[in-house]
Amino acid sequence: MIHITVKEVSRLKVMLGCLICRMATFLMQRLGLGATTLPGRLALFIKRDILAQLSRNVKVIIITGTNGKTTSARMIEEGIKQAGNSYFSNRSGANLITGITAAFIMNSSVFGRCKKDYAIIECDENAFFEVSRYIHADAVLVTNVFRDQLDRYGEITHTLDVIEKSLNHLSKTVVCLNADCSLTYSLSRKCPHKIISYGVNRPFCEKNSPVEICDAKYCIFCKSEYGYRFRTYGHLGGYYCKNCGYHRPEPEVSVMEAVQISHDHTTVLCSLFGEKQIIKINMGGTYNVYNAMGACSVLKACGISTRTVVRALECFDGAFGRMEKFRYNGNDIYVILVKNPAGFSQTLRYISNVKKDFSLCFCLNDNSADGTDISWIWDVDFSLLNRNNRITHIYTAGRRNYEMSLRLKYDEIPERKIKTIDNEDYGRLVESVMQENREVYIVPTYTAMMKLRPYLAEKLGGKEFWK
Amino acid sequence: MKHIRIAHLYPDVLNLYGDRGNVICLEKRIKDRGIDVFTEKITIGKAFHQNDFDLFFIGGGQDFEQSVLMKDLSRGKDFKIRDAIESGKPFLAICGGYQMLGKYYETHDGRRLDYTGILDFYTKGEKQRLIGNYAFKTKEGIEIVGFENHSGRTYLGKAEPLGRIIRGFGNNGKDKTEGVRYQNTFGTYSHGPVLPKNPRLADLLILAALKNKYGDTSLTELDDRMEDQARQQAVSLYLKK
Repeated sequence: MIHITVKEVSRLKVMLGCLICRMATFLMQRLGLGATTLPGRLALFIKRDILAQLSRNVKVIIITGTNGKTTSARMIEEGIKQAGNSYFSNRSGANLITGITAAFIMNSSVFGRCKKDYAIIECDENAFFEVSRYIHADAVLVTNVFRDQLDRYGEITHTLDVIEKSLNHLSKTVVCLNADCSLTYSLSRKCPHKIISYGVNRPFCEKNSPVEICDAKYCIFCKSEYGYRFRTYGHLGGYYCKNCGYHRPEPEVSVMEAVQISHDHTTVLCSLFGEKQIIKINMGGTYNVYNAMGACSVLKACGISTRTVVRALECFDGAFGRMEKFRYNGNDIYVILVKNPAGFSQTLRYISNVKKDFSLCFCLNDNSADGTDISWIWDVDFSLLNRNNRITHIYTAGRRNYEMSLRLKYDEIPERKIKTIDNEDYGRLVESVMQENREVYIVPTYTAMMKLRPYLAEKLGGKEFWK
Repeated sequence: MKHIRIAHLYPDVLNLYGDRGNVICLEKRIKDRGIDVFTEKITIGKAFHQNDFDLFFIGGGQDFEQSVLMKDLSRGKDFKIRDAIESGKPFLAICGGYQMLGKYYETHDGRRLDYTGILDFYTKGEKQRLIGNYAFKTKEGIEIVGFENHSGRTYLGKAEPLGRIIRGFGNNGKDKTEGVRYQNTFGTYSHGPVLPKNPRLADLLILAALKNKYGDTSLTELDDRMEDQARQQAVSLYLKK
């Protein structure tokens, strides 16, 4: 009689799960179906906790939070790579448990043993909750917590609760938290792990930056109003609560000052655990300075040398779609993804400082990956654009382009500058952009970017995203 | 020169998803008619007098922030709001702000939070949120398109609804009513920027303010082509019968 132990059954299931997932992926790619959740779903169906086995022999880094996940993940990858390690990540926006499972399987042997040194996993808080039940993690980065697609996730405090529960699933990990985000940093009081905090010690520029919508005005612990010693953007900055004493800590990893700010890079003087260092971050925008500091914290937690971290940030060249550059006829065409008011406002602030003649294009979609509720564009201040007289045209495209045009009208953008591209005709959009003969900034929501990109890649070169 | 003063109540707490769009819209539509407009933000702890204002707006917020608010309201602001409403001042209240004009809110686990009780309705919380694009029609026949996202189910007592549901859930997903209407007070679940896409509703509020103050009986026409396009796009995507 054949005697099979529980352990052997479990091992067989892992193998079967891996096999089926790989076959499904192979078939779907042959059929040209691109990314779907099916392969991962099949593996999870066969063995619900397959991730526990798959993550056993690999160092895992998890990146979660509202904004900056992808850029931070790409920066971390660069550092891991520069340090001579092999890694894999869940690219192409596959950040649900199904996509993460499939990514693990595609980087494991048929027996479910991981072949890489590091797994760099980007996930939203809900996927984090699922994944953290099965996986161990060496480091977790929580970038920030902003309002994002309330129609899908409910309220901000709910987001925090989910991250807290997920962290408490993990027994031993280093947690890297944005010290300037009062919501994110509150997690330091709620989980027993070793914490590394990072932040920006003073604001970079404009003293009178416009008052933006603040997602966290009241103390998360006692509901009294926060005071601020300084603000960088949104609710990020040097908050303190006069009532209960909760305040921004002195971060271990921090930007002491900006040495040089340009639209395509920022050079900062940092303190990495007390060690002073000049770092050139090869990407413009305050939000990317935060992403870089988050990446530094994680890389240091993984024991990567400061020299390697600095080099990684200097040669880092942008994440897919988050800020991507194409070239046509000697002009740059930028694509900057926006997902929520904080990110959109930051993007506009960046664009309003461009010192050349340029045109703009906003693509607004309302599919579920974009958020079906488009109200959030009314929380973004477009009047900033009126300060820049170098803007030639503003195109609006996407499923809800007329709402976008209307939004511009109500911030007093001259109607003659606004050109609408109807029916999600991205081919026409790209043609119009090419005829501009000047720099163009295309600002799409997620699904608009996915649809737009093949046209850009076809006309202007660049890699096809899903391969 | 004519002059309208708007009170934006609690923009520091009730500013959920684009509520600001309504104030932006009112301001522009008043300004474009050659009338001066000024908006004052009435934040928590700030005193105001209802007679200093011609138009009132209150938005929606997160549950976490609602409790901060009730404390401030009970320090006399609730009476001022009641007086403004009773004296026929135009008042737009959305989501959380709308619910607060009612008698109480009962959470899904049975706890009861007393609200201002200015109008005769109450709200019960349920776990399942009612979310989506929706449309309703007012008694004047104005079709309003918007987006709703609420866990509360509102039940009207003697209070009159703002409209009848054409598509979507409205007050409670059962009785086809949406919002509340009393004199010049409009309460609705159409969260965020309900006015820009529905300029006729915006103009009802503006006309009421001008009528109270200057006896105006009509408004200058504005070019609403862009507004209509945005509206039509929402209708053809989600609300076609």
